[in-house]
Amino acid sequence: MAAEPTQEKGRDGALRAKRWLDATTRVRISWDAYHSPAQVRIKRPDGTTQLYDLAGEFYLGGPPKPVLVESKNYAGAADQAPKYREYLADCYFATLDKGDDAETQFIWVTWHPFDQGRWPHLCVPLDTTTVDGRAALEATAALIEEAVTASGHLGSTSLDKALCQVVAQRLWLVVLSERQERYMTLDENVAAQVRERLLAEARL
Amino acid sequence: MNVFEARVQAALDQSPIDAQRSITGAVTDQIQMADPTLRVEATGYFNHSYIPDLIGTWSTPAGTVARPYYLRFQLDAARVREDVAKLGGDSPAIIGLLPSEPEQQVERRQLLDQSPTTLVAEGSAIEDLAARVRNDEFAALIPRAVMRAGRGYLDEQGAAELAVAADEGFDAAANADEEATRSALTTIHRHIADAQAVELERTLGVLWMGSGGDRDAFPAGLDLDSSPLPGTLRETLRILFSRPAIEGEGFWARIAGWIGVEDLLSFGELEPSPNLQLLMAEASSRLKFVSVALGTSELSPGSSAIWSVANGGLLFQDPAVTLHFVTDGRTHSHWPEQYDPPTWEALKPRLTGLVVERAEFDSGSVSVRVDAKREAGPEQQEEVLASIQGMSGLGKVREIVVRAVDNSAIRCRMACRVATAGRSRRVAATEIGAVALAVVANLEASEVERVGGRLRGEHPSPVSPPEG
Repeated sequence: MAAEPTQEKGRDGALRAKRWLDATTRVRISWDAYHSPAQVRIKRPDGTTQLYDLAGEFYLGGPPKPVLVESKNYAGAADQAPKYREYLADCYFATLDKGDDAETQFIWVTWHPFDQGRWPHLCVPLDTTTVDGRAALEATAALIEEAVTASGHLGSTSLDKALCQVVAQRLWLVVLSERQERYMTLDENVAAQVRERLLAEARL
Repeated sequence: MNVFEARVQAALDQSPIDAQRSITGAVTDQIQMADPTLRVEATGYFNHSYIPDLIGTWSTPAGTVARPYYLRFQLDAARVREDVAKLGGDSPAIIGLLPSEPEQQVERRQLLDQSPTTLVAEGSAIEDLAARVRNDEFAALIPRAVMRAGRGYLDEQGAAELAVAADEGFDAAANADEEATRSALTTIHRHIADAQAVELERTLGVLWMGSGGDRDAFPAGLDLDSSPLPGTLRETLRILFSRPAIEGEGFWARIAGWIGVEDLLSFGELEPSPNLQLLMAEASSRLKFVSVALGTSELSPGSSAIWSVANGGLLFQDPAVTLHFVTDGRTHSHWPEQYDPPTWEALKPRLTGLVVERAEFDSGSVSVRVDAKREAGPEQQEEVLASIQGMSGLGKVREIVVRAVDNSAIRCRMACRVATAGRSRRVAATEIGAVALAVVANLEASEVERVGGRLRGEHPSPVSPPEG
């Protein structure tokens, strides 16, 4: 998961993910691992650190929430499954690091699906009050528990299962494609109008 | 690492909110260091996208102008190319926060060489430029123009080139040095888009002409036959007034040929600087006024006369009197319906003070005649006395004739209610000053002049007709 400035493909993926997320107007990405590593760094309980690719704010209604983004500019599933496990563990550690109250959101952006067998459990449905929803939540939380335990980064802390359930509900998984990036966002004229409107609101 | 880079680096280790605030603050400070007159607002967006992070605004006679500032961590050439293509229509400034890859420098420069209105600047270069020229107000016009209309790629090299142009260009123009002026103009046009570059050309042109340079030799396509534009002249004068006395032969006489009272009044306030005195020494005999207000002077005997701009007027002070000139009667033109004229008792001490000093004005033998539109009556006398406070307030007096011993006369028509150019003959400062003093002196000198009048609080007295 570590962002490596020399990996041009990874850098390009982070930039594309940022653009798409910014274009939703729900997310504002301010920081990246290449220029502002301190802003995307989390500390694990064992003292090690990890970098996400991007960080910013998520506007879900009410005060904006922090968001950490991992992007995978992959043409195939490749090693995303094990990387996703590491990511799940780090989402747990990030929540420990930044505090549960921050309600930090986590977005995995990829250009190719992976771990098809477990796909339904890689994140949870919006409604977790139904039987199916509850089961999905339990399954995702179990994946996080497993990933955290396997990570070896717990240090002297013990696993907080309730926190795993909290983290599970803050996971976002986005699969992008070039067509989606290019054509399923606002065209330039509309984007210009949106910009004027946003600026007008910002300057009020 | 300069101050800007250090601030950005330090900010990157702060919490996200503090980091954003610190970085936008560092850029804002840097922009305002280059152009202190610019108003810079953060938009609240800090995602380095198609929404600007900062917007700078400034006022022009045509209205408020805005420039968007987009912040980028680094000026990556490919990203810059895309930004210029997508954002270039708004004449933006794209500012790099961290030092860019040096190997892309040539590419960035080539990429932006033909960019008509987009500035792509290394953040540290802006600070560098502003710091190099901060001690000279003429030179400081350059970074200001860059912030408003800079174009192309600005890095350390560009900042150095502009600093040289700033340091040498204005001096070159003030000395009519054709080659050095041309060199400065070339640099200016390379880095600054047309409107602001032309504005700088005009400033150089004012200095060139002031220095007595040959109009045809000025190395730019300006029409130097016409007077400088008011905005250019004003800005040039503002800077000239702040500098040590310029006593070059004929410099202020040439400058004086372009100014009117309105140009001076547009400053609102002007300290009595040495260069203002030099300008007024050349200009006072040709500046035109329609009104003057008299006041007592606070200058001690023996002091030199001084000119300044204050309280909406051009102020002349010498030990005898303060003359407050205004041009269009704005401050005195509206005669209140219920005007309450001053009492003689209230007025006399002031007049006496003036008369004591009047010998210096050689007005001892001056006589004054006041012709009113209507038959002379008590009202006119009150109006004449009122005129001592503000001649443009002479609501019903249309003419004052001042005669000296040699029988030469100055006749001033006073169209006073709303003194427009079409209704009033504009009077040179020296003349109207003399008239004003003569009125004062005459009223004090002879009670006969107070004919036909009865001031508030006075008992009726016999009326004697004025001489005439």
